[in-house]
Amino acid sequence: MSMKKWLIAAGIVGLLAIAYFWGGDGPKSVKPPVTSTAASQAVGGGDGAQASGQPQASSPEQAAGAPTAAAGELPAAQQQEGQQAQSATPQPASVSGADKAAPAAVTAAAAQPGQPSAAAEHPSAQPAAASAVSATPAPEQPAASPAASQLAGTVKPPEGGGKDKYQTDPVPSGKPQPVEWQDVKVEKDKKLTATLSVVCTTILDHMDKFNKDKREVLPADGVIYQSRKVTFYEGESVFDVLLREMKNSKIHMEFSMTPMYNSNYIEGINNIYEFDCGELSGWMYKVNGWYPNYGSSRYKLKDGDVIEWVYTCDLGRDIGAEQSGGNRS
Amino acid sequence: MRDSFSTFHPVILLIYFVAVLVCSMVFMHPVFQMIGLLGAMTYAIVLKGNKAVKFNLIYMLPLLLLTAIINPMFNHAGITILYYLRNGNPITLESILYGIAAACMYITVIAWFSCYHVVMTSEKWIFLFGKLLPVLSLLFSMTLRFVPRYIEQLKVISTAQKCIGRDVTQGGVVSRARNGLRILSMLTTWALENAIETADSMKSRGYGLPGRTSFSLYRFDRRDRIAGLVLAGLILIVAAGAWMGQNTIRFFPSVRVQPLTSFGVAVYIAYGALCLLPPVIQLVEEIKWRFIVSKI
Repeated sequence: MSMKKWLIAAGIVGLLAIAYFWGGDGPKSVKPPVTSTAASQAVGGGDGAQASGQPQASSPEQAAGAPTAAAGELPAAQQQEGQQAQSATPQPASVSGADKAAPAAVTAAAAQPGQPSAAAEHPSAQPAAASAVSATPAPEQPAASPAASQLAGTVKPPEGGGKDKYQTDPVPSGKPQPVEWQDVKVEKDKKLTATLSVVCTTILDHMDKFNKDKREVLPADGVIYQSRKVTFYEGESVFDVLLREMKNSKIHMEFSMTPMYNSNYIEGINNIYEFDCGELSGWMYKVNGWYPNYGSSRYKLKDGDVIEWVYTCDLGRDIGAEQSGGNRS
Repeated sequence: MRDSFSTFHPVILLIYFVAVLVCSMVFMHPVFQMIGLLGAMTYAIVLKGNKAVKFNLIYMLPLLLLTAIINPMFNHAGITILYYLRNGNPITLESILYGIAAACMYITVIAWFSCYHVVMTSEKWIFLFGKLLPVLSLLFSMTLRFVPRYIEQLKVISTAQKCIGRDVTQGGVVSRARNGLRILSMLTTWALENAIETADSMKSRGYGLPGRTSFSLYRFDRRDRIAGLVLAGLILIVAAGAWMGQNTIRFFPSVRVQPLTSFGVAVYIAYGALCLLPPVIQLVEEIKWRFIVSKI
């Protein structure tokens, strides 16, 4: 009994190993069909389907049926495959890779079931389609290449939709671009002025959600730092000004550096922290009435800017920030 | 020295340890922390003597300091700003106090567990849970035995290897490493074999079978009944204190405890009695014994 179990286990492991090395996601498995005739291609495709698709289940009917279908309607299956590939691509933007049709087709076979590079482990949902792909590249290379190249495009990491390397969406025209604080040199001799205020009036409208322990630190009118003119030096960011002024006024403030956005995140001012007024609450900032979509350490101030730090209880929607989520300080 | 609290019925011991562990984990109030720490340390010293003192001084004290220091480095909440870190974040009194309280709690729980380990032997554990969860309780007691047992066996192997010049203390660096690995391999082999042997031996004795009875020395007698009642009373008072908010402390944004009332004092006394129960029992027994001895 236990011997049998061991044999079964060994068999499963062996099948998995064969599927891994021989399966549809290595260039080796495609090369033989490329040089051989259509019939052998179909057989090879069948083998590929059996190996890559269902190493354990391996019902002989399916494995036998797949090659015949592939052999009978090669172009049709291929076209269908192409359409499926197209519908599967999130971004139909074609990138380079058309010259590498065969390897790309392999990646197509891997990508088509929806899980790239996992074809060997997951039983493919469409054994016939998978076999068609591994069989197709030889007879009509030009036809296979567009679909293949599109899929090669999807296999590559997405471009990010125009985000910069710190996950910032394009800045609206007319608004200042983010400036990395590492590149900026603060000129201590150039004194400029800006207006700074820190308010949390939104909490007063959501007292039911507000953390009861924090009631004692909430100002009665919701103004933590009355709007006033502050001096800063050329090259400083919104964060630098806030930090200095909070220190000077002996107002508590906590922040943490977020390398992913290359900016300091303001966790709390005056002991009013993020999430203290519901899970959508936190500090946001606006300069001259605009909520920047990047962090406060990356906003380089100009003379006469008006900085407002505002507490939101609803991801910015309650304080007039049109874009929610990504533009938290 | 024989500890008399350990001779109580396992159910009483289990209730006691669950109660003190939960209390020391949940209540952050400084008075409670101090009482818990005192009780745990005293009992550990009663149980283990000098070893416990050494352990506490060498490992627990630095751990306490480290934990107390780490918290204000990363937690900057609180209204009392003491000074600013270089990067601009404030160090606050509240976060320091919270760090100390958390460190205290950590140490107390470890000390209670070290007492638990001495008092709740695997025999008692199996007596309590052998019927209910036979496999799990055997596994648990075996797992708890692993580390001390391996250390013992490691010493045996090491001594034997030393006789033939293959200990980790003999030879050059490479041969030392090789010897060490060899000893480790022997230990692993022995451990695997031993685990299977233990399991087989328990199975062959019919462990966990439905009709099987097991011999145990434990009787729930009058003494246990009294201890159980006292325990229940103390736990009830402490629970009432928790219900009234006497045991809780708020650290952020400012430290706030409930004003001290006479009921609060009663809760403190009850908790103190709970935590110092085993040493007190030990003391009473000791006095009784002296008394009896002197009379003869």
